[in-house]
Amino acid sequence: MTATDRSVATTPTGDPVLEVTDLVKHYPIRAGILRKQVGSVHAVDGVSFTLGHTETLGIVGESGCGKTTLGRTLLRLVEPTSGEVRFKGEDVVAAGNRRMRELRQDMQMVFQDPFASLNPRMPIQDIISEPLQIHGTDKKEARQRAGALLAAVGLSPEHGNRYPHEFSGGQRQRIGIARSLAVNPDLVVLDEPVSALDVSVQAQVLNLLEDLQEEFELSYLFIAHDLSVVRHISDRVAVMYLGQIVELADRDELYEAPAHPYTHSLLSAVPVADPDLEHSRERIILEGDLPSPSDPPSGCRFHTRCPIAQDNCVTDVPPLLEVRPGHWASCHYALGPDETLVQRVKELGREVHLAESETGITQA
Amino acid sequence: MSEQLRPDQAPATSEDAAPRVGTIDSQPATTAPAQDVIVDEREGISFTTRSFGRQTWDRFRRHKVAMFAAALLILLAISFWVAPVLSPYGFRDIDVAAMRQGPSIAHPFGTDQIGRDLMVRTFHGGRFSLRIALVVALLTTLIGTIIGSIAGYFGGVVDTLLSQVINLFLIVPALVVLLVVGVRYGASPNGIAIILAFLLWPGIARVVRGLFLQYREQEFVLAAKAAGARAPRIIVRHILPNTFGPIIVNATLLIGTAIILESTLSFLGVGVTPPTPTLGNLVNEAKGAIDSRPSTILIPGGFVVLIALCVNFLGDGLRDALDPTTRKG
Repeated sequence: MTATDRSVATTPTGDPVLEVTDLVKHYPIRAGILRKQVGSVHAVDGVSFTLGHTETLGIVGESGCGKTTLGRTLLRLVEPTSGEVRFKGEDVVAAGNRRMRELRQDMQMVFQDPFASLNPRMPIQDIISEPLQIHGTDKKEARQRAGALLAAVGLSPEHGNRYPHEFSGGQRQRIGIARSLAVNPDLVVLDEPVSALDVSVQAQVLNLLEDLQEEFELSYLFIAHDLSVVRHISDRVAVMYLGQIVELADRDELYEAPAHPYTHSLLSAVPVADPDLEHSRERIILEGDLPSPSDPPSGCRFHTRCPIAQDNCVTDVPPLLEVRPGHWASCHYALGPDETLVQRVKELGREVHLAESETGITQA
Repeated sequence: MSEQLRPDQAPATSEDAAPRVGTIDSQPATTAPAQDVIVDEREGISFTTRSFGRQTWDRFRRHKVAMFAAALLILLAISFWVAPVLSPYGFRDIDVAAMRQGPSIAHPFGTDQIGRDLMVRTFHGGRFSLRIALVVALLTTLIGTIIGSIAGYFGGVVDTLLSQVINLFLIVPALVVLLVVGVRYGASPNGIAIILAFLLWPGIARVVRGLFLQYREQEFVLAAKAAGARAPRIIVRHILPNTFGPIIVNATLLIGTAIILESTLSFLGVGVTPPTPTLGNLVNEAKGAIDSRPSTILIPGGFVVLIALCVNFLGDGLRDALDPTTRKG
């Protein structure tokens, strides 16, 4: 991505809590006895966005597109290779160890796997109160607050001396949420917080997150691969592909009038609840696999799978441009608001690879 | 976890029946004083809970051989400390009137070439050997855990350096070092213990390092980092408690190794200085009598084998009970 006016790629509501500019995380690939660097995995490659106060920004993308790395890099659980992260105006990347520990009280994280994110050998009141104890609250007071937090996330405070294995997945995720709220943060990075849960429990946890956001005035960065979950909870949505944001727009705009062919194909993969509609709609199938992030394609990274790619897509990197007010996309041939990907492919005179009806029942 | 979860069809309010609860090993919940039921109304489920210690003990109890080995070990240890006290003979008492005797009522294990009672010497020897083995296990575990956890947690250059040191110790021919150093410093039981610990720690260090490498990438460790925890807190409070299982198993197995190594050293004459009896010393002293009175060599040798065998079975049982990879739920 060439430098574009990306700082405008935002429509923050109020003062931004988080401003991310050109964030890059490359993991070195080393080989041989001397551990010489032979390449790098471009996990996050030039990501910029802002997050407003009490806003929820959804980040969606396939497995391996760098969503999780992005979340961890923001909190410096993984050190960024380059780029800038400003939290309430302060440069997080430049913060020293002492300052970073202070900042961690305001930036928290909820993890994906509720079975791995809680220490199996700690009672949950200690798990929840640990962030407070680290930052100097005495044990008794911290445990009292843990009880209050358990109540806030819908669990019984009396269960504080139980161990994580005594709880179900949904309950554990509530415990993880309570832990993240213990230090009263402003920003919570939610890394696929519901993807490990049953659908019925997902809804409960999502509703809980929404209630807590209102109660504690939280800003969320909501990372997920489930498009319907993201649509439910987000104000704005960013779509990631191979370490880059390819489209960023308000939720409804993005879901109803996507401009990037990748977003289009992602959305067309979501089944529709109405069986008639489901059978009549045309679904584009993406060709090929996700290219290796250690050797991303030249030009537009999506050109290897894009059904509407042209010659210049192979060579020219498309900048993230505002295609419509508040709607940003990085595509040389962004689709119009009422245009579908199938139409465009047909216009180009190309063969359309449509998904076949899975049930095989022809609708009358 | 999933096996613990049961739909709450018969809630605990049912009067005629005890609450039906699912247990991990799907045995009837008969022994359940330490268990209770969590009912989560929101998710409409209930399940039983047992503490980690309780689960471990339940699993260990079902391991018959390990239970037997543990009981036998305890019995042996008690007899090593009690029998010499009850015996009319001291382990240094020489009786020129009763030299080189076979087993008899007065001397059930016989006597040695200067008329010392072999039973009291064997039990005393067992006491020394077991004490040395316990000290070795403790010291080895301590050194190995500290070095292994530092190498595994910090990784990078620290790990590379420490791993090289570990490998260096692993390739040193133990017996040669023991022979050389043993002659100089090995006279006392504690001296032998320290030498053995010095040679054995790399094994534990490698195990602990591997566990730390595995756990430091876990999300709960990341969560602690996100909370602002520093390295010592993460190592001691978060990772170490999760590695206790394998560490305890290895420490147990070390007792067996140490008993055998101590006997080897003493047999070779570079162990604890006679006349202090250890099981190895007793075998060494009796080696001239292997044709005339084989019992004098078979009895202390048998004790060495018995202890090592028990310790290994106990270790196996503990491994099955503690190893998180075999833990169901």
